[in-house]
Amino acid sequence: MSKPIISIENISKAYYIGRAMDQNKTFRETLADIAHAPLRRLREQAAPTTACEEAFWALREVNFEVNRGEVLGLVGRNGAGKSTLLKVLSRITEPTEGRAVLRGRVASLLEVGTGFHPELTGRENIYLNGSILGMKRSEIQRKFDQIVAFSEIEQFLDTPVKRYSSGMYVRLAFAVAAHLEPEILIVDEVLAVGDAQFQKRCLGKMQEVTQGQGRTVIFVSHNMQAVSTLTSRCILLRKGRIAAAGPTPEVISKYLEDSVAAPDLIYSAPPGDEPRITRAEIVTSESNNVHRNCEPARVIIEITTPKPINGARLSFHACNNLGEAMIYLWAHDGDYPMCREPGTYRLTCTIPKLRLYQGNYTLRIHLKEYAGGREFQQLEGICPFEVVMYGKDREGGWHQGMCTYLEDGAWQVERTA
Amino acid sequence: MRPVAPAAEDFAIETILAPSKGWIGINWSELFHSRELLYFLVWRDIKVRYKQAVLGAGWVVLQPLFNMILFTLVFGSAAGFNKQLGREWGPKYAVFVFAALLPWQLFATALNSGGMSLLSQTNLITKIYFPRLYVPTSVVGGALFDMAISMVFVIGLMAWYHVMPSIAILFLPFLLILTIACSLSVAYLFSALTITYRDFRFLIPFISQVWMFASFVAFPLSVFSAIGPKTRMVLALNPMYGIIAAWRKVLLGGAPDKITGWDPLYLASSIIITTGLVLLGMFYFRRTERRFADIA
Repeated sequence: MSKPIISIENISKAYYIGRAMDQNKTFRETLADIAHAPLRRLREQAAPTTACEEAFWALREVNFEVNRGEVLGLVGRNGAGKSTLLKVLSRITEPTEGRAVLRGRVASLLEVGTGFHPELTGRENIYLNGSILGMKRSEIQRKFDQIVAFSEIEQFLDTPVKRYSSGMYVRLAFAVAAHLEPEILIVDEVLAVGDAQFQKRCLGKMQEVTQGQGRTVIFVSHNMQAVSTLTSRCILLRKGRIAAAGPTPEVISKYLEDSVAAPDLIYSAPPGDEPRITRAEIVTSESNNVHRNCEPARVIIEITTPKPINGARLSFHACNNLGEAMIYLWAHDGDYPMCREPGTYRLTCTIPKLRLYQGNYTLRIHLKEYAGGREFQQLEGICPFEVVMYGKDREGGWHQGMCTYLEDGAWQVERTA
Repeated sequence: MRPVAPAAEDFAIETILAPSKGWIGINWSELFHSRELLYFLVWRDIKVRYKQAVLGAGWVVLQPLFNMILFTLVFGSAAGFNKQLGREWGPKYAVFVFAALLPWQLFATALNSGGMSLLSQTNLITKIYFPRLYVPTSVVGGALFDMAISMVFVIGLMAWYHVMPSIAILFLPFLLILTIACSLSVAYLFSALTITYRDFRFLIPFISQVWMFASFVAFPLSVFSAIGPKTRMVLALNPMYGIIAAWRKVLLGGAPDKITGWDPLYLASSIIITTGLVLLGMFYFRRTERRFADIA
């Protein structure tokens, strides 16, 4: 269509801290102020920006446009301003500067179960929550059966919600919200709740809403998997400003760069009297020890030894978060002469296709001499890295614990009867 | 934040979000559009209140009933104010008190619960957008329902004491509207004040107490032997005094003005002051509304 459905021009939002323009104001203070200087008080009230010493700018000069039917991802670290931007767009709070134009009805999902009352039954809460979210009563009645079917709580419909398990609660809350039909839908981290199966259904529903119904969606999440699956364009916020805007894969890479590399992503230690591993590193496909499944990876290990080692053997495992070894690779002096003289040696292992499934892993490295000989060092839990499935789309998505690694295999299908 | 007429090309509602300054108008079309939400909020309050109540609907009458008994015993009998009411109305002190408690309960709920309504619903206000005016309005709506139940009780009470309403009962709908308006005004005003000034909430019970005494709910005006013009002026400033006197005039058929405290002056001043309060309440609420989510 001609005009973008959302236009945001120079939106800025300041919260005043310190002199507490908004917070902690007491009536007593106000009376005292009025007594001392009535005019000053009135002037301050009219122009808050001049009076306050400290303004924290949660958003600063944010500019972008969203076109009808687009699914926009909004990413950034905690405190970057994502929730504030959503609050401004949802009309919960007012911008301090700038202006935004929304050309359609907006519904926001900033939290599931807003307005749920524990004393009311599931049925009653569906009506209450639906109405709070902006649905008309006739609309709720029309969709009632669908909502109940999606939430799978038919038998508990007439029990007070306070008796629901947290899973049921979240399912019901999301079911109501998922049946909203606004032109613009704003979703904030809602997929962070619930168990794996529920998250799968939520994701499916989100896909249906975005691709199937052609709704405009602004989607905020820390779950990069969901963001890359659902969105085509992304905006990265950093300290209240737009740091990047563009196609999703690019912006996600930028987002991952944001975090300061923690020193222990790379292992290093001083040399000693005995052969020692002085440095260990895993070079992943993305920065900050994040690795995309099936991309090449390298493990670089440096050994410093003050005296020659007889039949040096170096091996490493990649272990999952339960400490189970998933991958085993080794280099022996017999194949790769090393450490026959004192000095520092660098061993690089190139893995052409790291097939590990998504999850968090660490390295366990052994340095030994000939078989049956001494063990010089065993390092556990170093070089933590994370494998992600970005860029690998699969119908239904990727879920926790689906498998350990992805293997290559060729299929052949023929009809036999 | 004001919706603009639909753009011809898109047929869409255009909403503009921009910083607002000063006094903001009331968005009547938005309020009308979301009226079903008000219904649901009131329905929620009422349902929750009566859900697990042992006495059910009877619970709502308990508080004014208790006050009535207390006032009748303490001020009527013990303090002897029932003598002020004369031979005929002295023994009917209970009805005299309850006729005032009926509108007073509505007003007091609006002041206390309505005043705290925004503070108690901060989770809603910070998570979702809807016309905030509906929060204190729904409290008054719920209190109105309670008042309807109390009215049933008052009819029974009047039958017991052989009290008939006067001809002025024809004006009851207007009086009711006036009472509701006055209650809404304090609900709006005080809810906006409590969220803006943190310590204000501690003043509310105190203000409520003083206001009740200033409205002569528990005893007649005649306890003051001398009512000079100065007293009358001060009294006229309290809109609830005029309203309560009018309720007594309506319900206590045949009671002289000395007992009901009725005087057209007070009703006229109540109407004027209530109108002013409603406007002040609504506009102050709207003015502070934009900061609710930030300071909640």
